[in-house]
Amino acid sequence: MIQKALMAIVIFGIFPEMLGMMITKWTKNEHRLFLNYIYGIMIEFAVTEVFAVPLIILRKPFHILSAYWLLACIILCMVSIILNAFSIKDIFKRFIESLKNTHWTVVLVTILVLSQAFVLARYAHFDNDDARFVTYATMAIQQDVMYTIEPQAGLQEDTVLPTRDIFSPFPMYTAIIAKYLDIHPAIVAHTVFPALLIPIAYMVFWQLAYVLFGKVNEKANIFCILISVIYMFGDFSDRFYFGHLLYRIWQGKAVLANILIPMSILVYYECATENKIINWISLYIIFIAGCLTSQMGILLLPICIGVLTVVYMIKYRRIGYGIKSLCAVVPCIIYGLMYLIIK
Amino acid sequence: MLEKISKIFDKITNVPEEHIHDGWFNIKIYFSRTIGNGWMFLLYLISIIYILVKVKDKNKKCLFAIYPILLSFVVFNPVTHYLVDPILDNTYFRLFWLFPVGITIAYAGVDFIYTFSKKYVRLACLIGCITVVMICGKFIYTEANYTKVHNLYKIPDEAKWVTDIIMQDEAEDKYVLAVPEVVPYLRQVNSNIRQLYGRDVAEMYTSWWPTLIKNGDAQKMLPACKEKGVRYLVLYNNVKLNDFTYKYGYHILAQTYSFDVYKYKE
Repeated sequence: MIQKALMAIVIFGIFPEMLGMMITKWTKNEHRLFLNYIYGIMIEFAVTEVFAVPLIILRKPFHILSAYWLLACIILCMVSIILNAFSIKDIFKRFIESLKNTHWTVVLVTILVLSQAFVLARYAHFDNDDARFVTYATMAIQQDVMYTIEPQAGLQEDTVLPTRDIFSPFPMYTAIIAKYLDIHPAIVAHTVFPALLIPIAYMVFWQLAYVLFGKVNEKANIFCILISVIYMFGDFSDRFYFGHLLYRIWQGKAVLANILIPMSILVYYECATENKIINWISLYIIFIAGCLTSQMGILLLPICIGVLTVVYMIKYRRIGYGIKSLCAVVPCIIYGLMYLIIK
Repeated sequence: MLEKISKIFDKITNVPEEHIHDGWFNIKIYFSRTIGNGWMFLLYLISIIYILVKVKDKNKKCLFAIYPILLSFVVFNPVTHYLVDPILDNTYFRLFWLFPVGITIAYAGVDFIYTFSKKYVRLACLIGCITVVMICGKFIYTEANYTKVHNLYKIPDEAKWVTDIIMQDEAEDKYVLAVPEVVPYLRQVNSNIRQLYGRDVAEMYTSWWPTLIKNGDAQKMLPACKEKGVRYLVLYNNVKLNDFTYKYGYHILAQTYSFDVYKYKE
């Protein structure tokens, strides 16, 4: 139990913060604790995607992916510690100071977010798509295979890998977390991920609002209150993404729609208004992370950023935006072409 | 590989006319199913208009107003539908996820609230905005969406019990024929269980195995199971199979509230 708790602190606390600091070191942002965390999770996703796709294509066992993932995260964390040794204390000091002047809106946002996370962690939402996604993660842990066995009936080893799934192996991220926490993948997906990913989504919303409203905390808090009410009353259609945050967040497409697309909008907005190289690098990492979550990420993120690029290219009259956006989209182009060719 | 690339290029440059007509029709169907009652999307449109008219910052206008307008030309486009729908496996409605509906409504709401300087007026506006959202939307926390279960795997309790019964049995080969209600869950808990059919077949209630199970057609079902080497049967306990199960070697192993679990004994 203590070992699981310690691993949880490392995987959900230390890794994301340390990884995120490699990006936020170069940005001017006071509230780095949340931003570190969001970027850190993006980097974890990106690392998973970079290692998983070639290993899956080469039909390697899952334990190799999990070992590479851990090694990569540890190395990146060590690099981050070297780069950020002097600012770690400041980040926590600033966060604790910000807690001293807690506005009532912060309390309300926290209650709303935590209660949404609690409801999904406590209650069950049944979805038959889990017969594929969660089963891939369970097979990775129990049989040490990645996409070589058909997930639903499990009757035979596939001679042909499922092209719709292998370029977006989000279940492998679930399996990695399950392995290092020593918890069953179905429990990680249905109980742990709601508690983790719903707050992350609201961190992204808060950060987006903080940037849009000129770094005014109170406005960002009110924004989060409104958006949480919008999501709680967003069950008007099972085909829209509102419900996916609050009852299916463990699925890659829900992470894409509710975390990655808003995150890419935030980062692109900063790219367009500040035009710093670190923002474009962050966008590139988000695109790789987006490819992990869903096959749709390979398509939707470039469309989103493509349209935003046209808008801001016209506004600022800078062809450079187009070139930089094209560079950021390269992972999607590569995975997309591989998918079309292998299909 | 060159042939595949040239096929893709051909597809992009030559869009048949009938696909244009079908594309419009399909996009309309997808859109109407995605917006539900349409009130939240109406609120979204009102928010876009508010931002265009009231917000001075051009960067925000580009993000919240110009972007969705331009995006509409891409999404509500039969050529896009023709190219993209086959890749998305007929889930074109997910392109509508690119519209930042929640963010735009929330942004417009906050901007509106802060046009007033007095705190109690702002509070009243916040309550007003929340009320409007509640009226336009549909509450998500209903019994249809959330169920209380007594297992951490968050699958139906009976599916968990059936999995436990099968896994605790000493037979090594876990080849199962199960009712459609339980099929999606068994392998989520233990992937060593193999099934005669998967979730895709289970959702087609008129397909062969689910029909046989529902009708309790033991004479067709049991010989086929024995021939295929199925070790366990998970069947409805209100469908009587008489003595057929014993005749083909399947003996009752355990029971749950709704299902009987049989095991093949040689």
